[in-house]
Amino acid sequence: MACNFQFPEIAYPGKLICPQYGTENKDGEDIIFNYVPGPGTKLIQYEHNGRTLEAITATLVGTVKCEEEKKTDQEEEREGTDQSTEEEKSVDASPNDVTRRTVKNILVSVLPGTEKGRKTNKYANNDFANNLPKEGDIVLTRVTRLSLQRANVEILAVEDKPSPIDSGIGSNGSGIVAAGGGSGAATFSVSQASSDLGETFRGIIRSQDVRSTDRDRVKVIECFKPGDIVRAQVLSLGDGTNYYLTTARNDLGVVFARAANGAGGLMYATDWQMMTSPVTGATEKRKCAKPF
Amino acid sequence: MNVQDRRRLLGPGAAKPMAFSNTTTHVPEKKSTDLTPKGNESEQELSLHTGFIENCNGSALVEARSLGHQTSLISAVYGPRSIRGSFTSQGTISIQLKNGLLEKYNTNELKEVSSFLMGIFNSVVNLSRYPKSGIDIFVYLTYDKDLTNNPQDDDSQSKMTSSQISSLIPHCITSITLALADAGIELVDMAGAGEANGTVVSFIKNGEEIVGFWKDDGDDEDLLECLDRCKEQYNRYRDLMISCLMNQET
Repeated sequence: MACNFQFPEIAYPGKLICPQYGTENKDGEDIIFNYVPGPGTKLIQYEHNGRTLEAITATLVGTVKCEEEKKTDQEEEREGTDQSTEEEKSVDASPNDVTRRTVKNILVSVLPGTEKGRKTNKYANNDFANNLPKEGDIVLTRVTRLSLQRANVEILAVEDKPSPIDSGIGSNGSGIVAAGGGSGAATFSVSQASSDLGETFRGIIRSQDVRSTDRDRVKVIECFKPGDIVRAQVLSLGDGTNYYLTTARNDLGVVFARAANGAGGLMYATDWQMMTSPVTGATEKRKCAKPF
Repeated sequence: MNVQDRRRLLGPGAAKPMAFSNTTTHVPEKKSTDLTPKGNESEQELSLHTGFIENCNGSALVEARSLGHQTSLISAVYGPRSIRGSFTSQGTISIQLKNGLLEKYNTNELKEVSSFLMGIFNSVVNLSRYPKSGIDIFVYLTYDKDLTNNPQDDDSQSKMTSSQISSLIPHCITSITLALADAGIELVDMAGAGEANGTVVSFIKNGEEIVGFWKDDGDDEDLLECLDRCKEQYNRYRDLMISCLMNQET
């Protein structure tokens, strides 16, 4: 790790992890570490000897992890060519003894469980506790109710944000992803909340949000059927009851569906708006997620 | 700057506030101090367990046993669950106390305690991480009993009851904090509390901040002393909680 601070290995709620800033002077270059509170941590103010200090504090039981936030290529280029960017500044006005200053952003987070105890250390916990749907998250939902204007769904799982290089989702930035998550399906966490008890988070897919083209001619009944499993993205937290979701992307839409309103077998997508049952050959209309 | 308030009848300029001499009537000393002697507190054994209830997100059992008294209670945390109704940008907490003891506390008292606990945990849980969701906490008082069976008159019996509900509160806070940590719900700090003389003070940040204050009865002049004793207990409970969580980790 390229920072000078000694981090605690295991943290518990209230454990101070590090200050907000740290500095180091190396080869005439000032390095400023800007510690950014990530998941499982919070920046909290403390009074010490009459002064107010801010420190990153753990809010979960688990192992501390810190990683440098990588700059995008663009930013690095800019840094290389231009000396007076925000990232690098000459501290002194005289050009002879210029002290270069580099700011490193380091994300500090606490992951629940120990390194050993966790099956895959890149994923969050296996429930909603630290994994509530946020804006922009991809969720797996089940259709519960249809009307002319919208489809009501219940959220079954949230696709976890951090995903490793080798596992499908998000590995190439915001690239194309296999339906059902591909090999990244392991990152789906199934909610503990039982859908039978009405304890799940609910969502709405408005007819305008079903697809990105020809959106005012969408017929909801030709896009979803009750019981379908739909991959969708969270548009907003919505109102008290519902999240607002969208399927207006190629990789979003129905991933699993049964024929004949759930009476038949599983169907497979044949094109973006058609699904076929391999047993009977019957086709039904859906807004399918891109299968491959 | 000499603005006179003409709406009031003021005394003459040289008037001094009235002072009363101390009352000479004898106020009977309360015996509540004797009920929790300091010797017992230091010998109190606390045993903590977490994560033994399968179908909830987090649970904790706290058992306290001193020379003449034994208490045990269970907390279970469910959630974050979705809520119905209007939008909330923060999570909401509900705490329910259930009495499994031999009918000692009436429901009003328990409700009072649970709303007191709610006040504490609203400031301890990092609620901004849980929009549109609710966290349900259930505390079940399983056992609270004097081990010594000395006969007592009715008066001291009623005093016992009133002082005992406050003596339970620190254990409630300990168990809820542990259960929340076990559930993986974000906490700003490990909340804990101590009890002295019917006064419960709950702390966070190493005793630098008070998040809850409960007073049943007792003398008010020794408040600072109560505070110190509470802080002492809080530090002890906190260390135990942390070592419990750390043992579980490794």
